[in-house]
Amino acid sequence: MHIEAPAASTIESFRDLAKWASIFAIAAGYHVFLGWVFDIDILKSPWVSFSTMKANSAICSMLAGLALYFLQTRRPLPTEQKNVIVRVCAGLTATIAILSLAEHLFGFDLGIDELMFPQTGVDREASANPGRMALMSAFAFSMLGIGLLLLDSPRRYVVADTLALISAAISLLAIASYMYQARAFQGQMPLYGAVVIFLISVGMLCARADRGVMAKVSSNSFGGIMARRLLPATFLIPIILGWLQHRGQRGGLYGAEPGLALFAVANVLVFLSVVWWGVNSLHRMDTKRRQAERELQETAAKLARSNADLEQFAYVASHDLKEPLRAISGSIQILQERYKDKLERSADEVIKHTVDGATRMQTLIDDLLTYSRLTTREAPLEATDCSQIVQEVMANLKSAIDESKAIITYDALPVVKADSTQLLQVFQNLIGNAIKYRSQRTPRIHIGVEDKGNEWLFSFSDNGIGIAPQYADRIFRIFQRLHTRKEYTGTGIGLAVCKKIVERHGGRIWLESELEEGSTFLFTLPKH
Amino acid sequence: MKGRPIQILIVEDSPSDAFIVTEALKHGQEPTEVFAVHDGVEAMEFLRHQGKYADAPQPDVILLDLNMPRKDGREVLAEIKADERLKTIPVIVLTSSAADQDVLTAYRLHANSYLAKPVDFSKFKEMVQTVETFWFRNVTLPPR
Repeated sequence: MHIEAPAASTIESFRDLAKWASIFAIAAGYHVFLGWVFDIDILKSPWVSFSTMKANSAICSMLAGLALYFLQTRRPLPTEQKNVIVRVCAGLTATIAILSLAEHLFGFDLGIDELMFPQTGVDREASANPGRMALMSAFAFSMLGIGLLLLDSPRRYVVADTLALISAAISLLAIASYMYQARAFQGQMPLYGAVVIFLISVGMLCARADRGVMAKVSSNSFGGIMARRLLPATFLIPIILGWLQHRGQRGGLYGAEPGLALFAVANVLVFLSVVWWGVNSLHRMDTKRRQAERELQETAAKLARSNADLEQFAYVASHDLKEPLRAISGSIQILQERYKDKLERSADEVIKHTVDGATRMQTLIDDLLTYSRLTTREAPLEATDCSQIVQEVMANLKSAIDESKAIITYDALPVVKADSTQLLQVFQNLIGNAIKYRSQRTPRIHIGVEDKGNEWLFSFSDNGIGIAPQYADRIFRIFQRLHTRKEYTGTGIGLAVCKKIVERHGGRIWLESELEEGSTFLFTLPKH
Repeated sequence: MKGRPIQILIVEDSPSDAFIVTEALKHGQEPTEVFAVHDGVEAMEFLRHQGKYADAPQPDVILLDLNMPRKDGREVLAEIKADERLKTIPVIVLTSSAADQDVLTAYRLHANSYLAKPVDFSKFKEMVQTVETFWFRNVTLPPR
């Protein structure tokens, strides 16, 4: 399925979230660790009655936080160095957590629980396994460690996403159980640990917001926008409403069952308003989009009309302009023939100028017509062999090539998707120009091609008279010339035609040249 | 052709074009007699001997412009080729336009040939001479 590409700023915001989550995890782990070093209870657990976050969990928290930090950072560290840090941190997290999990599951003691801080006194007697990471913490950190290792593996990031979602769900359950004083769940994950695990899980998803499940959330489509607006509400509303229900019940306002009813109905009402708000904003976005579409259609229709008008204009202009031209040049030539003996010799020159002018005017009109028809007479783009085109052009320009003794070389040319007649025109104009604007040297023309991945880059280099850089744009405009008619013939249509054709094919054309050094014309053709 | 001059009907709205064609024909080898009308309506009246053209002869060849006021060359061509009595007269379309669409339309309407007028008079003369050589000397025209 195609997903609308996300805006770069959205991806950046998600990355920022991941960054703060990782920093929080590192800081939290560090403080808990300090709590163990200096034996400060409040740093191990917010409440005396709550279970403490163990030293190993604190270490896992710091390691996972570090791994996440380096996964999201844009710092110009060498990729290899970053990868090593991430692998070491994530791998250690997974190892410590899996070993603790194994202790829980198989009932043996590997001696890692009290490695750094031997438990004493009350702590030791209160717990069956003193200093051991809680069961669900161990489970969640194992998943996070593995997930962080897999986060950038090309095919297994789905696994990483899944692991992050599962550990987020487990830690959310733990957080909720503290809010609602559900003691049965509390022992399995300390509150500090639960918060850290939840943040790392979410941070993992946010660090790679451009793919997997997050691609849809960060997408620029209506779906993505709605997801970003509604997702925080789906997390917060039930949890907060549940807490309110719990407080009310504790305060003796109502019993368990009425409380549940209140909770359910409150959920319905709040979600109803959230959904209603979502529906409204979708409706607004859709209306806007439809309006934009309508405007686009109108613009397209307007363009089509003005194109048709232009065509009509070009036709009429060519027909109606030629008639008076013929009248001028025809009449004056008839005059010349009929009164040959009665006219002075100098009259011939006047007549010659008149005829020249009329002929030139006709060439201009024809060129204008050719130019205006380039876009209207569109043949479909087909596979076209460029080397065959060069052969044809060399045949067409044979007399010019022979006369100038031009040496034309070319790379192995590709088969491209093009209108072959038009592409031939481009090749012929560029090669023809290279011969026409030659210097004293023997003309050497090279046609190069480079594969640029999604497009071909063609280059036509010559050793001719060159073009001063300040004219690099002007030469592509219709009827723009840099020389007088005495120096070089022509109306100045060739490059304008090339530009129009190349652009019609979705490419660009430009010039790199130095006066007296020769010119290189470059153009691209997309591969499609 | 048996001494009788070739009778040509020029249908042309531009007097200068008509003048140039007539002038070019004068340079030819074949004796010709040129009749000029200025639009499609007059052309049909001429061919059907109506109104002031009651005594007009039936031309051997018609030189027809395409873009004209009142009734243009395409309509004239269609009417001629739909008329049993007129359809045998060769019609040479002689026009300023070289547009594909015009060329196609003319041949679809059974034009006998299509010529685009050159601006240069000497080329024009050359073209008219080719027409003369081909249509008036080599071609066997339909008997009248």
